[in-house]
Amino acid sequence: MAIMGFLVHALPDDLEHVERVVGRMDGMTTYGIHNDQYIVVVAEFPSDKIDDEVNKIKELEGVLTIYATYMTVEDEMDEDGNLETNVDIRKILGKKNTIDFT
Amino acid sequence: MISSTRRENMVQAKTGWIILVAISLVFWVSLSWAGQIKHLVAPDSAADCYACHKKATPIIAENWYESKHGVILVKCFVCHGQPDGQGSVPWAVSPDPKIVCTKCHDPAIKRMKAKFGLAPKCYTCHPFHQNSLHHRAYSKSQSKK
Amino acid sequence: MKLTRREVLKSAAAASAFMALNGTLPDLAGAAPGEPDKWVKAVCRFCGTGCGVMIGVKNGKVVTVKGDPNNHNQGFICLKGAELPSIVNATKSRVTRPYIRKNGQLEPASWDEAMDLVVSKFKAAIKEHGPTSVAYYGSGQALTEESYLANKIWKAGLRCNNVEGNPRLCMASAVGGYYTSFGKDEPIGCYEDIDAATCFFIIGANMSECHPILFKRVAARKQADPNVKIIVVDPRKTNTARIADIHVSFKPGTDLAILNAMAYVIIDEELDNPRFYNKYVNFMTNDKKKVDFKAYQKFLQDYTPEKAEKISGVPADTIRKIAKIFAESSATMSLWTMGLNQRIRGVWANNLTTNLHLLTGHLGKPGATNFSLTGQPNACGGVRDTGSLCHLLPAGRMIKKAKDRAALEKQWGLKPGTIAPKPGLHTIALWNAFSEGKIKAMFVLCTNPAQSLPNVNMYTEGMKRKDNFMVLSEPFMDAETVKYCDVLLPAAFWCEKRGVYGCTERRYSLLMKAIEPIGECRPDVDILLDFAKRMGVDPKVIPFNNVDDIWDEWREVSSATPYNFKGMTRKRQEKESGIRWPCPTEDHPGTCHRYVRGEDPNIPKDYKNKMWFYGTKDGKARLWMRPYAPAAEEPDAKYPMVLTTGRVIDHWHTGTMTMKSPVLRRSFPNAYVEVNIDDAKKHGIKNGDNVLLETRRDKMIFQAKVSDVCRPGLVFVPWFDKNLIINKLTLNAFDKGSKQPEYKICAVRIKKA
Repeated sequence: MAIMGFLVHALPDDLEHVERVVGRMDGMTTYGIHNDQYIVVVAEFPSDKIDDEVNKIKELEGVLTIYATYMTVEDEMDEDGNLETNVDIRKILGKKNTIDFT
Repeated sequence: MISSTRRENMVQAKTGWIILVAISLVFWVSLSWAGQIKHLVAPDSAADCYACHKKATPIIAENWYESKHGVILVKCFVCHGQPDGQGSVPWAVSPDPKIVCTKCHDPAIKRMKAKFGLAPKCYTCHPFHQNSLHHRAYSKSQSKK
Repeated sequence: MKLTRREVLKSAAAASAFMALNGTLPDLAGAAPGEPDKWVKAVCRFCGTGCGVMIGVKNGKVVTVKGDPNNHNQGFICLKGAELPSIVNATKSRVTRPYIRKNGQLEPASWDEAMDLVVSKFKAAIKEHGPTSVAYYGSGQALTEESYLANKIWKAGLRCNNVEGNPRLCMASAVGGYYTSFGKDEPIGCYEDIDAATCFFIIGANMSECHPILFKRVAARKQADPNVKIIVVDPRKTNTARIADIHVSFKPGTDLAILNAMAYVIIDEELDNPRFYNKYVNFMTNDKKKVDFKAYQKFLQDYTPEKAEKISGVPADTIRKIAKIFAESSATMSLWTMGLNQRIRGVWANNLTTNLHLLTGHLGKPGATNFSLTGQPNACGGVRDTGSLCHLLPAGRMIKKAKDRAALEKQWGLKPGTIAPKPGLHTIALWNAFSEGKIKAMFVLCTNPAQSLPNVNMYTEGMKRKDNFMVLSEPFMDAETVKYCDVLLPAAFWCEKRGVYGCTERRYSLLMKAIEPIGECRPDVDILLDFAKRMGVDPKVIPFNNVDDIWDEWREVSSATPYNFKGMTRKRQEKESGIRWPCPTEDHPGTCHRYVRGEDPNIPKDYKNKMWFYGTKDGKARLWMRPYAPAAEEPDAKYPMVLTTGRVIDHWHTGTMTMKSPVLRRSFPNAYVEVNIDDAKKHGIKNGDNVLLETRRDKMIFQAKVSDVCRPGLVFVPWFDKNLIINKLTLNAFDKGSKQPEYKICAVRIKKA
């Protein structure tokens, strides 16, 4: 499981369109348009798929490029030593899947 | 067969370590983000932007090459400057029209201002990278009105 | 609050992205230069396009530059012009005080010390060996007033005709071509012809890199009318060919055969214009005999497209195609530069291109003209027009003609016989003589011969001699020639002085002074006047208080000749942005087309014919039957490839200026060799490999740039790099007519190093 935070740098004319398309993509969450040129996006995908999925955004019309600012990978290894990449965090922690910030 | 408690402890330790790594990653990446790292690697040919950007950002590079600016060799550094900020033009990912566009297009900008009053950022209407010689956009360019 | 782990991580991801937005991403306003206090009108320091520029000055410093909206370039400048501010501000590399070479090292000196030494050397040489033992070597980048003054000081003051300049290395063949074809130098047409032409014939020119703003104008013309045809004839497929309808690659040096073959096709297809040439053209054989059109047809039998194909490698069908396009279009404009000029057959190549216009009548109407592009910013106005060459006098007059000498002496108010009757030594002969110690003292101004002369090792060895003396006026400390000079004088640079540049289209524009010269630098006009006064030159020769006085005298001198630009007063120059000569009166707008009734003020308004080539005795132009003859050093078994040299857009000439711009330097930090893909495969060379280039004169290693630009059998090396001086490998064979060296072709062999 990988989570990546990044900025999408797009041409001003295409910002809204790009935000809509990205927002509709599974696993992508958008956080608005900023400074008239950037879209803040967080992607959550299996760690072996995340590069391809994020690169799909680069192919969109009007997108200039992508700046990654954050990446975290949490994979699980099973008894045989195989890496399980699509583990839901909730499953790993089971009951203890909440952190108390109070 | 590992007991579930032992597994939980292992995972907790692991996630604790991962959080630490992730936080340092955040600082590392945001302080020295991708662009600057690559530009520092080849300072001697830092102004030969097209050579690397053909591979790094192929869509923009192709757009520029096919555009009017590309044909008449208005190279990247004329508008964007270069990464260490030396030279006549300041380094800018989105150049300031008042500094850059006026060097050549001042008469047209003044005409725009006289006709329409305000002069918004030029590239809101004029696609500087995409004014292609082949694409129909070339003949329908707004600047030809 | 309670959050899932996942939500925490996703928030962290989003937070970091937001942080990047506000924190470290480069933002716009940053390092913007301050808004200038004033804008000063001038001309770009670089190529012969001669774009007007407005220099933005703040607190006595150049902070920015933009195109002059009122000059021909309408506000546009190219990437070199845009970097002028960083070059002007590179003051650490400037020569800021005089130097004298003592024991092999340049030691600082005062102006008096330096000038006294210079004058003593010149006086001693003249006393012991006569006035022909000294010389002046100037530049197409010096201001018009500087060249005019130097020319007068040497020819009328010192009575020495050894006045030469680097235009001998770049434009002499064009001068010879115009002179033999029309009787007078300088193009007929102007830049406005670009906006009216329906066919462009670009040969021996890489306009996109060497005349970018004119290239832009040609591209814009094609954009406006897609029916416009562009033919590019060049052994290299340069960026210029990107807008071409046809690119014709040919064996270097065989363009002579192609041009003759085009003439053959034009007549064969009955596209020639008898009405034009029967009225305006004399047909001349190569040995100066006047013949008729039938003789010309017979001459062309040796240049059928099939025969030309055998010589040049260009398919006969292609030759037919481009000849038809050239002739069928309503207004064809030819454009050429060094590919035709820097050859031992340079004058011939110029003539043969002009022939196509004389045959088809593509002259004297908008868009139809044979337009030679000038390389340097002031080769036309400064050196060609002021006659600052060893055989010329101002305004097209010739030293060998007694009538011309007398007329000039009268205008200058000097005793008859002041000007010596024998022409001086041309550039190659001059530097040969200097290298043999026969010229004892040479004044070099605003040029870099230790990098720019062909077969340069010969000449740098000559500069090392102890029995000759060279004084150099140069702004930059790291110029190659500084290594060899005996006295170095600090010259004011570009906008630190005031004067005129005359560009390709006969347009004279005034550069106004924008900033004060730094250190002890002086404008060359002041340096030359100081030199003349100390030499004891007759004060009647130099009745000038300042640069404007020189301009006024030159204006007056021109008024007795077809150059007549008396109407270009200083006041007018300050108000306007360049005026084209002839311009006889202050209210005359300047001339677009010469030799055309109604446009050229030298022709009476009621003249019987539409055109008058008043430079020739009978008022007719001349079509010269020039044969194909090979280059001076054709490839052979030992050296099987051709080496050619040239420029790239980012650098100007020897790079003394453009290398000061951090951006231009990093765009092309080093010279390289351009190798064709097939040749590279044959020699096992990959992109970036070191390649050894060897000619009969020297050898050098370059990094390879493998591409499809050069045709197989050809390699190209740019000449901007002072650490890889390609002129050590070129040869100094020259055109017998123009005395211009053949930089474009010599034999080379390559090997992976």
